[in-house]
Amino acid sequence: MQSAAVEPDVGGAPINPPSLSEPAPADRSLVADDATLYLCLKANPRTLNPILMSSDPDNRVRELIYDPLFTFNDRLEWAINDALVESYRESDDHLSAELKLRDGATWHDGRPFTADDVVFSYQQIMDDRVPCPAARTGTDQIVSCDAPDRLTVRFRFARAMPTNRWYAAVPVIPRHIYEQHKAADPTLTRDEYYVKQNREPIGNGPYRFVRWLSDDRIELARWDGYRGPRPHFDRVILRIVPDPSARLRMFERGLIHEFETTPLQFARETDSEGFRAVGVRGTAPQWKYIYICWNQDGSNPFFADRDVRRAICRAIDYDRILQQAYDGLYERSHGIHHSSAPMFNPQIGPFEFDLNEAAAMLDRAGWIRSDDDGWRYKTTPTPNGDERKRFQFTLNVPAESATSPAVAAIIQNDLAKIGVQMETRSLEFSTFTQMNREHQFEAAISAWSFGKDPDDEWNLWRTESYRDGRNYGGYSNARVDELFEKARQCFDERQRTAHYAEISRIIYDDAPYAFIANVPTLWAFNRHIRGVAFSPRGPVHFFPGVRNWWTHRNDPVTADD
Amino acid sequence: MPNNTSSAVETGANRTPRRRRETQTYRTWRQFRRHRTGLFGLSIIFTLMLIAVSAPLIAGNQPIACHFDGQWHFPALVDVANKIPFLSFVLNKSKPFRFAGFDAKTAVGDDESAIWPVVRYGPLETTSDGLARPSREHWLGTDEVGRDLLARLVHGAVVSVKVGVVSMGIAAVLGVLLGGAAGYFGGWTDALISRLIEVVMCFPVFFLILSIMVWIEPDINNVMVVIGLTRWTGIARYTRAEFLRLKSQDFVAAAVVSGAGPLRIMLRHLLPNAMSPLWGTIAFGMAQAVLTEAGLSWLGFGVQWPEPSWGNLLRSAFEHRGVAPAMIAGPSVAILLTVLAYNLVGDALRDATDPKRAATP
Repeated sequence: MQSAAVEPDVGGAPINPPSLSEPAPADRSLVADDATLYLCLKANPRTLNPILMSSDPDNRVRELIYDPLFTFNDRLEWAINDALVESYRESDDHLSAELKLRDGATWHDGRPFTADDVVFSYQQIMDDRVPCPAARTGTDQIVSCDAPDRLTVRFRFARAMPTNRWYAAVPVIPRHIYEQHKAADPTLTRDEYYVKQNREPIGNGPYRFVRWLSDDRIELARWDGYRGPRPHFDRVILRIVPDPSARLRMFERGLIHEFETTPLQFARETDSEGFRAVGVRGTAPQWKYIYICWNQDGSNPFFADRDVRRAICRAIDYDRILQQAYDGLYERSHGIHHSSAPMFNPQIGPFEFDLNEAAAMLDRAGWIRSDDDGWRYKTTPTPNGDERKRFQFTLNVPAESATSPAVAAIIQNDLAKIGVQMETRSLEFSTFTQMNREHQFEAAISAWSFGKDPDDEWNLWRTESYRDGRNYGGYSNARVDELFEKARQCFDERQRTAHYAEISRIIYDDAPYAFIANVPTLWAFNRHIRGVAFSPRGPVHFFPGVRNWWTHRNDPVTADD
Repeated sequence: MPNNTSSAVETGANRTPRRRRETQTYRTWRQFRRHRTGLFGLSIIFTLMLIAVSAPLIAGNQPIACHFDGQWHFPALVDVANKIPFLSFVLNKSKPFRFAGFDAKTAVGDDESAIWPVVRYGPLETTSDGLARPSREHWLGTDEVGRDLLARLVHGAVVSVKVGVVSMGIAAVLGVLLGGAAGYFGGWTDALISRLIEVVMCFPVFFLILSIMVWIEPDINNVMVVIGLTRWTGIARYTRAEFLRLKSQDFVAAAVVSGAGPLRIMLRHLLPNAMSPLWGTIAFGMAQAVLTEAGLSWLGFGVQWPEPSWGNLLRSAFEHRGVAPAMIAGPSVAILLTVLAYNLVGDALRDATDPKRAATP
């Protein structure tokens, strides 16, 4: 999904200039082959072991050190990785598959990359003692994985599903490294040996690990033994910069060559001399949305009622939020699928902001405004007599979010006008997510990014996902459950897309979330960086992504390190 | 107040009636009055307290007084009165001003009888005028969702005053009780309490508070309690030292032979005479408390937005410094002045209770 359209300039450095997406020339002598690329990580990675990884910084490093069995491009299309895999064939009943590896592929230490590595990795992921819930999601759909010979892997799947080929994308670790101390530490995390291996990995990707200075940088060097397309930069240094302001300053000083900006930085802080001298801006639609989840599991007296949720959705001034909280850079979200996604349902009629209508809907739902204090109350019969409840709830917000306070302030102000009292509670991120998982909230603002396939939303919306999935708010709709099931069994891509489009409409109408805004990719790049493409997941986290970036020999990127 | 008898015993050489009435605290105040910077600090603190108490009269979206629907209403005045603890249970705003979401500015309009606050915006009132520069309408400008920064600064003063007074009140009670017990009883009690003080002092206080705040509800009341529970050690050490010094003096012996129990001796005889040097410590502690609250709110663990505090205002200003640099002036000057004022007062009190300085005329 190349960002061909240049966005309207809102002031500041150029947006999506043609040079940014210019592909590398066939004449390799024009590419500065010896340059160093400085990338920006928002946090210290937790681990460099691909089966234990889960966070964004972990994955950014993984993409460079490890080569996957399968890839997906900037349109999220599945493909085999030619550098490692010769073929992948599923049986006619889609219950098994055979993967043929290429002969000659090796790890960074020169040992061969074989089917044994794949099988060993599968076994580790499925070993409950190894803490890898992210990698286990999907892999657990594989019933068995074995290696009849050193280059062949056979998978058997639990069910015939179109997504089985995604599940076969097992992250692979070198068996000869990780099996050595398995008996002493089955978790692969605690033993001193594994602590070292997980920090100083032996990979098989285009870059090899050099060193990791915690909270400062991770250094990688191009690996000459890589059999795939040769990456253009000789070295990659990933600098760890948690503070957004520090990222901007470091970018202006040339200490990093890219970073994901905040909306405010993108809109208003890129017009300085310092920024224009070194940087350009890149933006494109991204399949990521910000939402407020209403807890509808019956633990509060408000949001189990669909009409109440719909009423509150109509009391949100989306346009004002887009302007004031997101500086006019975000667009209105129309549900779980982005308008550029094939699964998007154009029949969705978005909730329009109308306080009078919202008030009337709440009246009809039994939440009546008191003549005394103006707040809304509802009287419900209980075994101990009538109980009168005030419409007062708390919105949980992760403390790290820079824009959510503004969103909350606007909503709070408008809700008060119709007699609904909203409090806010700022929570440290791990506490915030823990409360979500335990359903200990009334409303929570957060964001979801789209995975690789719409089936990834299986554990977001199905009724049974309330117990151990990510259906934190307890949404339940039998038709949605049925459609997810149907889509899982459907190999006709058009029919499958239609199922997801219907799911999309039903969910929007049921209003389990207030869909606030779609988050575009907002990025700053050094003006000497070229070859950047954008996928629905941004300029990274797809294939080839960063591997395709390059800089011109006559106008190379430099770093004042 | 210090006990007259004990003071008379202590200052037995002075026989004039006026001298007999002069207590330790009065002497401290007499010395303090000579300290110009201390008086300057005190005047800032009084002004700050006045602003905090009368915040709804300075900035708010409800009138101080107005004639509406055939009768007089005083909504902002009621807001001020409700700052007195428990009064809000009896005193309620008249209808329709207590009505949630009631737009007094539209309803009352420019009625000539209405007396409005100087700033006609409430601290939580959002407008479409986001990140506005300072103007006649918004003297300090607005934040990203159009809230008037002066209104938020004025209402944020309430937090700073409360944090200083309440947290150091808790710290003072704890410090005096534990330090007093250690100093008076000595022996094992002293050893135990002194070790406890040393253990608590080993922890870097801000990070200790931060660790606690991660586990409890981020809320202004919790912030005050946590600051109070971690800032008592300095007061305890001073109290212990003073009690150790005073307990061997004649007026204590006189109290003992007249049959007074330990509690009475500590509270009625020792404490009044030990308080003077503590005032300085408490004043410095208040400055620290204001800074700690601002730091916690900056990090998101203190006062929760949208409620204003100088710490979270400063955070918001910092995040927007590239586009609205003027936002940073209000909260930073307010914090600077307040901390400076408490420190000046603490400095003056320390000088006033210094016997070497007190000896000079």
